[in-house]
Amino acid sequence: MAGSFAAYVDDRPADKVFRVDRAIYLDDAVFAAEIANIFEATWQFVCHESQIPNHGDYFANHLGRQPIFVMRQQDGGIGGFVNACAHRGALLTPMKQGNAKTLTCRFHGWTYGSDGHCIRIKNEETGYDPARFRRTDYDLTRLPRVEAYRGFVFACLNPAAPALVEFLGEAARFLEFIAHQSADGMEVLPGSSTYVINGNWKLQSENAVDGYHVSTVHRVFGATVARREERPGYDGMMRTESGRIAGKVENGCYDLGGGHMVIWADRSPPDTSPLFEQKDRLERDYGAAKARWMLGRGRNLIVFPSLMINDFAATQIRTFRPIAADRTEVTIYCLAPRGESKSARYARLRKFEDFFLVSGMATADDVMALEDSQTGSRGRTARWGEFHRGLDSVVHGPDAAARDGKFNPVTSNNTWDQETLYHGFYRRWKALMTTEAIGAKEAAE
Amino acid sequence: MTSAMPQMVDDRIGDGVFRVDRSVYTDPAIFETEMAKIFEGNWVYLCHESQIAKPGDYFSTEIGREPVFVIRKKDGGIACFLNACSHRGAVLTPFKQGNANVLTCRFHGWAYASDGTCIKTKNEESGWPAETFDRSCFNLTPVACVESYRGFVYGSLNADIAPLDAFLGASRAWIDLLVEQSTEGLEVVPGSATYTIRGNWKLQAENSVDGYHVSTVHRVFAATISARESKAEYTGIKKTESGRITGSVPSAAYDLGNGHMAIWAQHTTPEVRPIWERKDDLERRLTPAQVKWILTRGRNLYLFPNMMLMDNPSTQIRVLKPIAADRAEVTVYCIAPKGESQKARIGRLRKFEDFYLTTGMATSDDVAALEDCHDGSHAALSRWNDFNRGMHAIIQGADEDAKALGFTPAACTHNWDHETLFHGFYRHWQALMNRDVPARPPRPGANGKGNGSRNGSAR
Repeated sequence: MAGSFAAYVDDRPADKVFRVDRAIYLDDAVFAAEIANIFEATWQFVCHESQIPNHGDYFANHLGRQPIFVMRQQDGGIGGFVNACAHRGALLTPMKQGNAKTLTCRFHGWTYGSDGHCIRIKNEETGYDPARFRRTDYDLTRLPRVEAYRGFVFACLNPAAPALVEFLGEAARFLEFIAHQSADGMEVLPGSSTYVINGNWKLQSENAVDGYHVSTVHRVFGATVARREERPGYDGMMRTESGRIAGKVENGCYDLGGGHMVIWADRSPPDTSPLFEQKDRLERDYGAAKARWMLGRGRNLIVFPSLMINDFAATQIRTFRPIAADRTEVTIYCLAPRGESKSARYARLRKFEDFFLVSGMATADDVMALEDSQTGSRGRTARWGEFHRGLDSVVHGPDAAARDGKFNPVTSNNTWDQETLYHGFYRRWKALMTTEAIGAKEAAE
Repeated sequence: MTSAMPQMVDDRIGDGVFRVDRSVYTDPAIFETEMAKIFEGNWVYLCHESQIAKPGDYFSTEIGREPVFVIRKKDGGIACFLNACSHRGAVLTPFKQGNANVLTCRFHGWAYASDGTCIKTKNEESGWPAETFDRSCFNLTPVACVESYRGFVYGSLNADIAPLDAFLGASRAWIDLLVEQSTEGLEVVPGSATYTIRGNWKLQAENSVDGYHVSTVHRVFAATISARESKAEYTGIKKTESGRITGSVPSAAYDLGNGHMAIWAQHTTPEVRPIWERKDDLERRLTPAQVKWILTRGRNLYLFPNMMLMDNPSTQIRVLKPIAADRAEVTVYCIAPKGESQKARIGRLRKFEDFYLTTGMATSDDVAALEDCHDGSHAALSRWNDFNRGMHAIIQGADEDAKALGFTPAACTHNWDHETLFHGFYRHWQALMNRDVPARPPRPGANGKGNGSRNGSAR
């Protein structure tokens, strides 16, 4: 099977051709291979550390099809486990997120400590031959790899995967631009919203860093917000930078390597940002160049394959769980600097609701656009998805803004309208799809 | 269908290991093989004879993926046909269950008698040359085998199988324990409930004879019933034995062979059971062992692959219809001895509603547990399902109880918490999955009348 997907990415730089067969959004075999070679074989975001601050706090998620959970340990570390009772496989966490010093299976009452040890088997004494029974045989299965980078917790089913920081590469710098926004760290705010799109997960990954669609798909958002803000009461942080949406500011995009991508645009004006109140501290602690990246520029980041972090009007973590070739579950969290002022938090939340939340004015338009792409991709006589925009202006390596920010992209481009950042995404995709995966099945042997 | 299955069952009793790869619940390819080799290659339960009592009474269901219907013929026999018009394949029965002396296709009006004979093709004279037309070419296709064991009707699409008696084997003694409760026989009480579970059919099969989960999953049921029955008006057969659910009564688990399984647990207060009113009659007619089993032992019987027969607080037929690897449809019927007193019937129905019905207090908890198992089974890193419990206590062949009642199980243990009965289920499952079955025959053409049939009808 490996190798047969290579032809789906038509990557001929010398001929100035970069296009992708739209079958990658439709084909069940592609989807199955993505689950095995990408989602069950590379690092995947699980949760933010602020979601599991105390001993016994757990957070359940999936790595591809694999149900897993992470749990804060007594020593403050993070344990990662397969979310299946060692007995008959029932899910162990009653909820997506919660606190439990011990997890008791709801089927037959087997109980596990937060370190994964099996500590109770119902009617153990009448069930097994004491001479050969060892309760430790029934400890939970640990995930091969769990690591955190600046509060972002990742897990991986491949025991031989590189260290998380190596996987993140240049994207680590962009996680830093978020994590350093408060000296006390960042926190995921309570509440989340989950929705299912009738589209492939890659369309959502593309959409996340597609600057080109903003002035089309979100023009109604831009117009509505501009109109609203003519009324009194919309001052300072309560304003949204509708100028940016209209595309009148400096912006750009980067292929960060490893499939990670980012777009950015200047905030216009920067004092509309809830973070503006920390301008002096940021410049003092991190210098003007890094502060400019943290505060002066809005950023959308995709950590390959499906973690999206936005820092534009508000700050957001968005994760995509692939369900089927044509079905993706999206979950949205608001992320905020700990200890920000009440007015900053208030403004952040209102702008989060405005744009990012499922009931906001942007998400519904984005979903329409990407579901249209999914449907249109079925027109197989028009085989290729087009990623040529910006081929003539692409810069290999860093541009001036990247050098300022001390990161080293594979390519830079001069506007966020350009599509050259996707070349890195699909090259990474192709590389993974054409090698033998070491994931869940192999690790189980 | 000759593809060999990978070995999913790790059966090393000598090493104290019996485990099953959890992908048996989740893998669509395994599901397709199960359809061809198990459900379409062997006996499956279709319906109870009381549901098709009179000539023309029909009951439509499926054998694997194929629609079929069972119909009572004029001569009193039972026939079973593929539920597809010979013309363009439309399903012929307008309802799941009903009465029709003639079944008329709703598409082009072709009509069939209850013996499957095509008796009318609309505008026949203008459609075919009279000299070559043979309407009998369009008779319905009978399924290969139909047999009834004491009212329980089975069918098979595959003719190359053992007779029903041999297939049911040791489980017949357990079926008899229900049938013998009335000299007039059993009846399925009108009405049924159907629900869909987001889980594999085998998880429902396991659940039905899993004594170990009762004190965990159904503790809320037990607590609720106890609280309710502390009220004055709950006396006699209105009571449910919640003591049994919390455990600590004699019990046992049987591997009955051919994939059939059963558990029983002692009733602490048998006099609250609807059957108690028949004690004298039972003692007059039946052996002491049968009377003991009927009156004092609550029993769950699983008949491979698609039926469960319960006689605990109430009596139930539960039918399983696999839809996909992760989807199964379950239908619940109350079955009762004909001629029981009104009081006993009311007690039986209320207890049926309490525990077994979809809206009852047990089914939803069971469904939650087995759906949790289905979701958790996707975790390939935790590959094996564990069925080791009770392995130290296995009794091979008949124990004293089985000898007294007159059946010979493959094995048993004297604790319904034990999981060794599932060994029989999965050994049979693996054997069938490894066995080749004849390919399903092509649909009959103008000059063929379907596959060779052993009898095509029963009685």
